[in-house]
Amino acid sequence: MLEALFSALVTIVSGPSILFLILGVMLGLVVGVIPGFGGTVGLSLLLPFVFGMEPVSGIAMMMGLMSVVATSDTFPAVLIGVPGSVSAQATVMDGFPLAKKGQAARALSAAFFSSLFGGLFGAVLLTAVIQIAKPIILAFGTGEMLMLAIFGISVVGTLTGSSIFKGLVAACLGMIIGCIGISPASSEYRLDFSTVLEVQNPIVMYLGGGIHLMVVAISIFAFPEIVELLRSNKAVSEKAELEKSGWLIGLKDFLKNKFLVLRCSFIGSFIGLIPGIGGSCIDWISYSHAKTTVKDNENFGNGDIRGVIGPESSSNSKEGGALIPTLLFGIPGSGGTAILMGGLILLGVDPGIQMVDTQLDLIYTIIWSLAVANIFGAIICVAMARPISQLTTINFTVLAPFLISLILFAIFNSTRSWGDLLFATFIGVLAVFMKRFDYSRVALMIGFVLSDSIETYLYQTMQFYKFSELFTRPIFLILILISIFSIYSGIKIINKKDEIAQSKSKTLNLKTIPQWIFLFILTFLGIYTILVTDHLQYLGKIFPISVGIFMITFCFIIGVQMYFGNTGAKVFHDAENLVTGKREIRNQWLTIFWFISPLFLSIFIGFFVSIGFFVIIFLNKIAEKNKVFSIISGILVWIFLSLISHFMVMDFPPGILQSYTELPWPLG
Amino acid sequence: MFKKILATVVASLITISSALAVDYSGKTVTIWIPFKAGGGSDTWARAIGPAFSKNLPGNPTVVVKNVTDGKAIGASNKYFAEHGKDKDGSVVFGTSGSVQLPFIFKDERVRYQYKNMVPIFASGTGGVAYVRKDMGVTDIIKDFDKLKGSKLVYGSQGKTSLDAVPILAFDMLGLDVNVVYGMKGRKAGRAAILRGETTIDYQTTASYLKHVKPLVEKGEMVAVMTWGAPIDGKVARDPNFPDLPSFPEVYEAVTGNKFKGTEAKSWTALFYAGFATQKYVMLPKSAKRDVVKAWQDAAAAIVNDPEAMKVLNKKLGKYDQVTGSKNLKSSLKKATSVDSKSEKFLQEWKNTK
Repeated sequence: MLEALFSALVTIVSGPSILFLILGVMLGLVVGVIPGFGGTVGLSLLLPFVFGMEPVSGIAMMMGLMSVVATSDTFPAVLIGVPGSVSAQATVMDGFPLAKKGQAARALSAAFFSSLFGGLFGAVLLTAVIQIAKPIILAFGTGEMLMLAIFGISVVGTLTGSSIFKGLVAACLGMIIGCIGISPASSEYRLDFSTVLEVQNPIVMYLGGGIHLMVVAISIFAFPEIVELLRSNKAVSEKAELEKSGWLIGLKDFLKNKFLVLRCSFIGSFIGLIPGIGGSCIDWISYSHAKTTVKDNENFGNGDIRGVIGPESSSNSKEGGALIPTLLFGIPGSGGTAILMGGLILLGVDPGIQMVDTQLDLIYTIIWSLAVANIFGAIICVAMARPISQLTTINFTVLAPFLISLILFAIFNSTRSWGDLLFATFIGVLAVFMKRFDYSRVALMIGFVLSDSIETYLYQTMQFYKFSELFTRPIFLILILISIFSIYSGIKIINKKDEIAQSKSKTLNLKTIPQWIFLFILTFLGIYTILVTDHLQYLGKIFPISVGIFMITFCFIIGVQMYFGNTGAKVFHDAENLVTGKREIRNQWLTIFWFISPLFLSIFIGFFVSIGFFVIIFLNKIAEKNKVFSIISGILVWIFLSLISHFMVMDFPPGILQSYTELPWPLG
Repeated sequence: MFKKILATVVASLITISSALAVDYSGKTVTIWIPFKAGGGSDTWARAIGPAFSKNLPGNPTVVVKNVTDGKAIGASNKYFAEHGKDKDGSVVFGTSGSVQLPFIFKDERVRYQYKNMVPIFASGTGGVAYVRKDMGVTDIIKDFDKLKGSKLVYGSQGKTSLDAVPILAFDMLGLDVNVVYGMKGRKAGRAAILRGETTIDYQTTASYLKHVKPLVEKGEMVAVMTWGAPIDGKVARDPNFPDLPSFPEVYEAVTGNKFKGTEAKSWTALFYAGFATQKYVMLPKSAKRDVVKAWQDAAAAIVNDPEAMKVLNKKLGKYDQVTGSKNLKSSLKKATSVDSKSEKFLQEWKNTK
């Protein structure tokens, strides 16, 4: 075994494979940095080139790309508060506040070291358990997966704001959004407006496909942050000078929290190992783990470095874990590994049980590629951390048009449909108000991510097991205990927050009408869900109706608290009341309008044309840059978009103009 | 005599002009795949893409475009909305069973019509049903009572997916199978039977050979039957598995009835749409005749390309690749049409639990 392990290393580092590996790493860095592009998109870009390649080089290139995405996606998460890919959702929570404090370089390098460690941890675990992992994976039946999903939901308590009920309402709303599309148990279309519109209406067709994860993830986090930054018309970093020697501090932070890193790496690999629960909630679980297990966690959410280190360790270690079921059973454990498997088949390598017996050398090639790529990726990222952090000192209004274009593009890339943009706008506006009234957006995200798992596994568990049978399964029982502990820690954290809040002076919330309106809208969404799913089969409606009932109940409780509480009660929260009086703040609706104005323009002249003009006009009129700078910037954006359109075989949404005249690529 | 010469001249002129007319040199040709990257249809398209590039006049660059807007149905509708009237064949459509089956089940979202398409190339596959060893079944026909008396649980993606073929087959055999829905793909179904939560499952041929056959050899699972393969217009024993009976064989042996009638016809239609000719490359009917010919000729050449065939066989199992206008037309008809009786039967069957 050791001999095979060593000879695989030699194969990787000698000859052309190392060059392909570095090529993969470079592509992975770029793909990770662009929001909305993750390993899934990056690997699918590589697939056409992989066909016909020599297997070791092909594997090296794909692994190179896949293993650095979870490292480089931290850049946008920390610098602009937009997750670069799914695995950086939780990094935003504390990474972005750190950037605001002028500590972007510190946050980034701590993240990269953690990520490097996580990646190597995954590789080691993969080597150690690939031959014995079968019984572990098979011990996780649907009952255990259900409990894992419930455990995922239980962390909401530890992450939500001051009012637990607001967090629960948000989680319910997330689950309702997750219900959109085909129901897992009865294969019926739900919440797609087919009750009011005809089935072939574009909106109904779009919603029938379900809402893509990145559409929700980007709009819920990025939209409110950008609107806020635009309003204050400042740079991301509140300090003009960035703190010095950022990456050394980052390394120290990493070393100081080595046990946290180790624990979170284990969580990541372990959950990644189990196919079916998906990688998207791992970040939140390890973020919550970090928050509940460290001392002095009051600062979590406002820029605690440990809130970056935890999720970053797990987000990269999960790939090593996810590779185990992929190679062992041909059952991918994450979105990235699913495409990797397609690529392996194109290379003539068939993942499956026989691989462990007959092609162990190829497995070791994969493991070494994972390890070597991680080292390359981390070195490059650490080197870039400081120069790129300078971006946070630029006035945000200048950056905004580029970011808005990038975000709209990333959203559109989810399913490449108008619906992506439309729905993201809806969620984005909702998110602005959720932030304003302190409804946890994280809770919505977690609810959304786990909605499908909970429904599917609940239904399947009930079919596969008798109730008493479940309680004889040790892993099931352990998971119940962990969930109970997680809920308990959540309550503890909220109580602690209350004490702190009471010791501080209360802000008097004078205007409460906007909060009432928002509560009514949320209640209405709950009622609406119940009404439009009532005609479905029992298996199709039971989940959305239950969630709807919970949501209405929680809304009612909040309503009662608001009605009987005085305006200083913690249930009231309106960030607007804190800012009124400051003159330099721009109007909220105006900034929202700026955000969606390129979309309005697109309706007429198509997405591609409108984005360039938007950049030019915005820079010239609002950021007050000169004409030459604005026009050159617009042209650069056009070039960037055409390059991507060419390489990704992608058409941009056409407008009315395009439906009348046939325009040449890329205008048409 | 003069007429003959004239006819020859005209015919050869037409051949020359048509050969001249279709030339993709320096152009890009797109295979529109209504599925996401990395999946079965995508891998299939990426395997035949270079082969088409090699064999089409002018050797165009062939790219695969994954369209997922509105899932398989929506993306297929979109193809016809945008390219349904194309003449030059620069964007071809790649289908799969998940595009054919909603059409057969008359899903109201379907807006595409197979009669508006010209098939260019078709790839088939097969499927193998297997059970867990602890059931004690070794031969489905001899041990049928044992199978019938066992606790049968099947993990399914949904009744109107490819799973319609096994579920209807179980129904026709009179097996009382508890079908548990919500599986995300056949892979999840396989994971469930490995864990012992389900007891009966099927996999397509390629996946069976890779993932289940080793288990059968180890004695953990037992293969019981295949869905069969189309041979001379009938569903016969699958040549990839000469020792396993096909479903129609099992049906006749177990029930004592001939494999005839509405149920059998409906099942056969589903089998053709989902397995026998599962994946098609198609052009819209509006494409010029010589464009269609150029593509069909290229498809015929691919079958003789060992490298492309290697990947296809690996992906789908060793099955016939259908080429040639006549064969394609008859197979597409089988894969996409049902008589009114079967249609009525399928609609009713869909709505029973």
